[in-house]
Amino acid sequence: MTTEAPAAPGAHDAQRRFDGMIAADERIEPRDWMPDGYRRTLIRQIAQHAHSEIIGMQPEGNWITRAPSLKRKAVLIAKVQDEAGHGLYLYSAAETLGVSREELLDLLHEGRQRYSSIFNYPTLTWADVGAIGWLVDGAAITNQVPLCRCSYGPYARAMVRICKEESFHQRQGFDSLYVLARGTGAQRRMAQDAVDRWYWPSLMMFGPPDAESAHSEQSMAWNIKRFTNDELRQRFVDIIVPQAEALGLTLPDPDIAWNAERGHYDFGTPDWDEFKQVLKGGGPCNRQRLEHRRRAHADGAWVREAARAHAAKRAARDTAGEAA
Amino acid sequence: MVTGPRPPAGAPTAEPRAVPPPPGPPEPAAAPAGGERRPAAPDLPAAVGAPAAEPGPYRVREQGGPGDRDRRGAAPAAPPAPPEAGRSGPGAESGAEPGGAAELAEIERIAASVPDPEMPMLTLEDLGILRAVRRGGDGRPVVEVTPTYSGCPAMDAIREDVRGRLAAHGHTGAEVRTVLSPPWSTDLITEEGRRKLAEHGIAPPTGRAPAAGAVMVPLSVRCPRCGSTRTRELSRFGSTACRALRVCDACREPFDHVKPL
Amino acid sequence: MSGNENGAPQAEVDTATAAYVLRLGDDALIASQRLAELAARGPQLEEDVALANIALDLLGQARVLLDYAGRLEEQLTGVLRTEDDLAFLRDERQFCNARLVELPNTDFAHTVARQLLFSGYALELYTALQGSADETVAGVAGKAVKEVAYHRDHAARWAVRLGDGTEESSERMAAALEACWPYTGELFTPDEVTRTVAAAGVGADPAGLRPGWDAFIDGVLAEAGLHRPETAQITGPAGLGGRQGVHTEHLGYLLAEMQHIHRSHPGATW
Repeated sequence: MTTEAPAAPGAHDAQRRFDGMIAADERIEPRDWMPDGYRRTLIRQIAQHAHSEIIGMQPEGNWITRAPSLKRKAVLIAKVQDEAGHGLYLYSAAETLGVSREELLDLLHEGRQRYSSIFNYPTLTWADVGAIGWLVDGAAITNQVPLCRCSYGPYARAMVRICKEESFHQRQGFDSLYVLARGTGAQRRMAQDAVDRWYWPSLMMFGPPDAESAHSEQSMAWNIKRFTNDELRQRFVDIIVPQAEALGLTLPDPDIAWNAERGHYDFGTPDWDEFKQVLKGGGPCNRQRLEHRRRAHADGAWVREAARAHAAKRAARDTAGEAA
Repeated sequence: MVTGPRPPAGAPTAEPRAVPPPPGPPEPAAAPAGGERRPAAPDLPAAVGAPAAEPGPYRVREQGGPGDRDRRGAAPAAPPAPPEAGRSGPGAESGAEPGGAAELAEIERIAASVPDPEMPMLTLEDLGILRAVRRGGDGRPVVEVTPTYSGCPAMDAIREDVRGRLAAHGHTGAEVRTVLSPPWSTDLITEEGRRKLAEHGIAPPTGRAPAAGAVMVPLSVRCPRCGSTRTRELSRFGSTACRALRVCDACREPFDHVKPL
Repeated sequence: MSGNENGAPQAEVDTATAAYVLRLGDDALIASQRLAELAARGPQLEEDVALANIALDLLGQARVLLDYAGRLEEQLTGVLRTEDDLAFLRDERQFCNARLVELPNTDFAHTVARQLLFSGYALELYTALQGSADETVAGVAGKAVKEVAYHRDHAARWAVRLGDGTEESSERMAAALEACWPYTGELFTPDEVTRTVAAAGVGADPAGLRPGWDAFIDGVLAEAGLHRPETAQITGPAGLGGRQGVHTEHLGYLLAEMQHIHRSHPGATW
């Protein structure tokens, strides 16, 4: 990781220049000077995003082998591939800030860096896959669209690309639930049950209420964060309420009501105690997700070691060949 | 004629159910190069779903009925909704006579403009997957599309989107079919398609597709951001089948590259 | 590829073609299913991406082939089975994939070995089938050839890295090859079905695919510092194998997982 910038005469100019760029809504690129706090915040945020992509592969990846039709199987494999690819992309974006993927993975495995807490919930039925596509991807997209204007170039550009690709998967999730809701009684019940379990956690994806959000203020000052947690949560609810009606499913929130005065839907309050519990590691799947991740990493150690050893042997042979 | 999977015998040939797709995120404007101004905030997706005749399970807080509700841009749930804005609106009358060559030409024009569901900045024409539009044995127009790769999960969505857009323009009788031969190749991506890829930060395929059975190793791939050829492959397989992930050693930007196939 | 030279009655050719296409579809489906198990379990993120990609390619091939097999069958029996009917409603003894592709992912080396041996065969096969007298088969082959070239290349690179990596990886790779090798003979064994379709110019004679496969595999093994296993071929009871629906014990478990949800909701659409 980086050290503090030296307090040399140039440092003040660099800070002024940086502040100017932020004020003018310009992009900061990897080779630009940036304050340490800005760099750290971005690393944390991009890493969290990357970790979320790879941990997110688990609850959905669970269902690939059991997908009830070949078409759904194909769509799900493509989704998981997409997530892994996005993870790769985001780790690369984080690396532009001077960290390595290995360091970031170590932090994840040690529990010192986070991933989106939504993935600490279990996918209990096939319908959960559709609910995740619709609600979780939907919330992620709502979060990510403003990030397309983030001040840090590589992250903003990554968001633009990722958003486009995720919208396909969100559509597939919606489509899957749509079919279930119009299917057999058992399928309808499965779909409604999944929505009942994923609605509140997806609202929590936008983070705690604004009053309690620690990082937000500074992130907004640096043009990393564009809208507050509550603003984004409201947008999300406004989108999904009519979509739920189109699906023919209900949302488990008796407080949802159109408020003509505000021009938005009123909705209920998530259980913030549950949210804190899950963040602290006490959710249904925290342990399991991290264990799975650590085990895959550990099981793969001999493979990565072999790849390194082989690359070294090749390099040695090539140099020997050149010397000969 | 070679065809791909068709619905089983006895299944209705037209899509009876129209799944209103949830709207994708709006297109954030392409970022200008270096020292840049950020694009204006994109609007968030309009709500989809029918304005219900009844308020449904959600109470209206203010007095007044459902008519007071201010729904943004709702698309009807029942009939097929065109997936994309920016073209002729739903219900626009087709100008061409059914049964004629002009009809086929118009169908082709419409189908060609449908965006690819996975890479929506490209149309089916840009990608080279719109194979042909012709008259079927029964006189109905047939639109033939070909998958980029065998496992392409977007084919159903593409067929739906083409049918939906054609129906919105009054062409309800068209059949959309998958064909496999000749196989798609990245060579079929048009110049416009390549330009759009690069504009969106994805390096277009370099050189020509390799002969069957050969695996091509591209010699130099330009960074779509800074143009440098000092780029290297991070991963041969990327987020979607056609892409590899690369990184530019000059400006450090990670980017996708469409592999020649 | 020559036409129907031995003059077998068309009905016989059609029956054999339906059976042949079903085999191709089953190979791809089961191979895909094994790779799908590895989602989020790869040794590194690049591998998660690669294996998902390969699984998806194979599944795509399987879908087209199974759909086609179903339609060919309908012409013979009057009853149509869709791709999903074939994938989810057949029992163990009705699958005709080669046993190689149902072998488990014991470790990453086993996955690599299985993929190397199978993709090597598939590339020879689809290269030959590009000239099939059957348009659909030729069409599938035309696409598959390009994709399988990448699959084979990917497996070969890993075989070399593991074979010529560390002592542990070399041992594991050797053990994996030994476990898979006994099931390779089946890939190249002709029978009534293959003889009929080959004579009709629709299919490829499996024995004819062997020399190309041998050459490629030997090349990879040499580069990897590995030896051809000397383990004997394993035939099923009464000399029967996967093509006759006589599988290893692994297939039952694989199908149970794959088919359970679909079968739990008879007649449902997904």
